[in-house]
Amino acid sequence: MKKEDLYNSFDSILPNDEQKSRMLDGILNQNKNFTTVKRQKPKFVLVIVIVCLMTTTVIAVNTPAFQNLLEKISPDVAKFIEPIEEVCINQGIKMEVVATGRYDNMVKAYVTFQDLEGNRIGKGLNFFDYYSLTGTNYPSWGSCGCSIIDYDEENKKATILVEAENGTKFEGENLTFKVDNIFYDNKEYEDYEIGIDLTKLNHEPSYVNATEKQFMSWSYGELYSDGDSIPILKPHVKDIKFPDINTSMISNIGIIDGKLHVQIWRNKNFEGQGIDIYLKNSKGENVSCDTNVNFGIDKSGMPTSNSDYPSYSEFIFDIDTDKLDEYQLLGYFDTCKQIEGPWQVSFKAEDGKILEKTCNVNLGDVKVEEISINPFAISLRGKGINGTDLSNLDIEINTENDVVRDTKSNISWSSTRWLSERGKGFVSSYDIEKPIDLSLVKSITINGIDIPIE
Amino acid sequence: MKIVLLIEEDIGGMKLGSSSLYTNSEIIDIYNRNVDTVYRISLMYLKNTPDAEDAVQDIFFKLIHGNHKFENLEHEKAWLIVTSQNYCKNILKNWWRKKRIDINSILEPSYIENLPHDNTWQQVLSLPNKYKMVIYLYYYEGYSTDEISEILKTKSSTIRTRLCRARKKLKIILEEES
Repeated sequence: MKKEDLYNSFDSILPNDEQKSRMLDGILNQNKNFTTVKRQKPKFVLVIVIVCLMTTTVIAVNTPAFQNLLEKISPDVAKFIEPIEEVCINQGIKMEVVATGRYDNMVKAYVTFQDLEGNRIGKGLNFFDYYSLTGTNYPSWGSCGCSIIDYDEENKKATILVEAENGTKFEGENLTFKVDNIFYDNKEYEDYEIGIDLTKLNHEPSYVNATEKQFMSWSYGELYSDGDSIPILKPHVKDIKFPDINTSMISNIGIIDGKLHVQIWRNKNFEGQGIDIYLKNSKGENVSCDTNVNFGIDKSGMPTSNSDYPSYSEFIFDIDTDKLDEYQLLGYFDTCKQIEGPWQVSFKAEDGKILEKTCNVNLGDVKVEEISINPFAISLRGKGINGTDLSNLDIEINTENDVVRDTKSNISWSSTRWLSERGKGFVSSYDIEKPIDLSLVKSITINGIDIPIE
Repeated sequence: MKIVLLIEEDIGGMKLGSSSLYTNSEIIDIYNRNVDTVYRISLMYLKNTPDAEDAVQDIFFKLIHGNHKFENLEHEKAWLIVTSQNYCKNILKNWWRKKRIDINSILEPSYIENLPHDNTWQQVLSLPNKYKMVIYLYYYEGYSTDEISEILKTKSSTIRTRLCRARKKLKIILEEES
């Protein structure tokens, strides 16, 4: 390999314009409240029904869900959404799409979750990435976000706002909201004292030899990638449980070739768990493992990269095993309980009314060629120098009543996407905090340039 | 419903979040200066685009809300390099993320396929993480082994050893550092 090849290879690894724009949006909008997925903007309007699915699907008839929702949201918003009230019940959990709205490339839906059998639905409700609103890109790409807007303690009911946005118009009339897994009762344990005296470990434990191909792809460290055979503790000869944590246990521990091996069994049914095993030395410093390999154990007892088998993780520490008395074995555990669904509701959503205007507004580095306004947002489309900051435009909406919505009151920049495939094209969106009646809009002013809206 | 957007009034002077030192404009500048570096490191460790994108966002978010003040642009870049490395290492330890990748790979079979397939890049990805980082910093970013030692808080001798081993693995044809 030549040095130039190496340099060129690194140099070719770049996020494209759309990725850059999407990531920047996510950074500026990152919401730590409920989900790690990036936020999107609103939209609303009506809909009707269809239903779907599951083990038990129930059509709500007299559910006053929409009325209840109206008590939790602003009356200004209520004017622009329509009731759905479609229900899916599975595993004793009731999911109801109460209302939704759809404008062009944006969708907003209000969804409630209620536990009919227990107390599993709480403020810590989470779906991680196990949810989707069809028509959007895959959620982890940042086109869909969830947030809890209300939790009813008495009825154990959480109201979720789902906001999704596509780069282009949503395809088809039907939308489907689906949650595959619900996670709850999240607990995090740091510096968890495992309580094993490392000086009493077996220095000649039984082990099996494995190769990199027998490990799952997320294994890391120097040993497994050397292509050599790697000794792994004989799987699951111990059951050293952690009090309070029933999703994993130590399945073996010992010293092989002067390295400390700690093998952990993981309950495959609980995907919402993070585990790290580490040491604390006599100076109080944390010492991470040098290699971590993950594998399943097949019927013959051999490690396999097949994730269908019982799952194990082995942490290998390259430390001076003559000084094990100087180390303490600790763990980090992030646990939660999981209910497998799915919960799914499909519904027909009609496009809400929007105002559109073609124009030619020169703002220096960019030119705005198209403006669209819906009750919740303004979108500017055009061309210009990639990366131009469009977050600080001075935008005003002028209405028949001379009521002005502007960036000093309730219009705020939400995102700018640079579309490389459209030749330096951009779509920049701005939220209108207090939704606006489009029939009143006369014109929009951008940086002092007035554009009449027909 | 605006949960996250923190820019409400005069954006030019507003800070991004009540506790951030930076204005929106400053954040965009920092992002544009460093996004390629952070993305490359994230992709080297995580090996798939969606997770690399998530990592980029979280790493810059840490910068925004960590109130870090940098002495100069090099200091800023070095901080982001180290934070990227540490963040990705932690991500790799997180079980549910790993499981998520498994499931995603069923839904989205082209995750890895989206990456460039040139042989050189694949060889870099196959290196142990500790070697990847040294190779990247030395051959692409142009840092000396002493500078890498300073950035990664690792002995120079260790860096040289890693560089030597990584060269052997990649069979790099070039002169050793004098």
